[in-house]
Amino acid sequence: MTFQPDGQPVWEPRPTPAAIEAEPEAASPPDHPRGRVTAIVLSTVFAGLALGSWFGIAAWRTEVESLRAEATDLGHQVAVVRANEESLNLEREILTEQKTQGLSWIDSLTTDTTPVLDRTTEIAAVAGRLDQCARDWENLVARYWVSSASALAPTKQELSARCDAAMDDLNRLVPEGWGY
Amino acid sequence: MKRGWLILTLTTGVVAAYLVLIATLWAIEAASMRSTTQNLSATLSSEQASVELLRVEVEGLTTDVQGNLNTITDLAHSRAVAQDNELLFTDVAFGSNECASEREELSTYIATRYMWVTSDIRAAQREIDAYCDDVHRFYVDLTSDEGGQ
Repeated sequence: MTFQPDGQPVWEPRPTPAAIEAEPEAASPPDHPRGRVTAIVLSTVFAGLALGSWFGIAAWRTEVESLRAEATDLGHQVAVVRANEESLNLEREILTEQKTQGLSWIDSLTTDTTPVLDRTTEIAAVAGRLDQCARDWENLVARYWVSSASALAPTKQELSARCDAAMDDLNRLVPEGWGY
Repeated sequence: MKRGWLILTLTTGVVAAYLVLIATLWAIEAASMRSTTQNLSATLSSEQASVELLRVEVEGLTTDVQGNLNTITDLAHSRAVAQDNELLFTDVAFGSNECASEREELSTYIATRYMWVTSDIRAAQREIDAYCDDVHRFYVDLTSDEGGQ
């Protein structure tokens, strides 16, 4: 407010609505510098955050894709290993069955073979005794050419008894109907 | 002028919030994938260990089965050889007995040789000896074969 020299205030005319409309800027309050600074700072912070997030998204996306590829590969490997496990389980079942059957065959064969081996051993022993008999008879026959029958009678009797005993053992061992 | 700054601030804020949200979602997805990968890795290790155990077991069983097959083959062979030997020894035993009987009978002829032609007895003796030599040789071969087995 201004004053005249006599101290009376100078009244200025009220602006008309047209004047007010003609100068809208003059009616609004002046732009505050602190608000602008705040806006700049906030915009900068938001822009930095957005940029950081942008790069973060790229990095996370790369990592996810890498992990997805790794997971796919691992899944494939697990599937292969499981298939292998299944195959081995089947093989184990078959081998276990074969082992059990093999042991059963071994028992059966051992049971069947042992008597055959024992009987063969006994027959071989009897065959040895009879072979000795035949050779003793050869010697005795040679003595018959030079000695009297009465002198050789005891030897002949002993030899006959020995050979008969061996033959009895053979007949006992050999199945009926075998032989000469 | 003031409204321009406000719009710029709001726009950058919204864009930043959107991008932070998307980045967070990607981070969550990455964590989930990492967890899945770790689980799969653990499963794979466990399965591989299990397969290795199975492989060792199967190898052991294969060795056992092969051993059983060898034992069965040996037993079958032993049995076949024993059965053959049983027949052969029985044959040779009867042959030796035949020999002894022939010689016993021959001794009777020799003891009463004054009743027979000596050359005939000698001829019979040679024939019996030849047969008996064959039987004895067969027996010797058989026992040496059996010893060799």
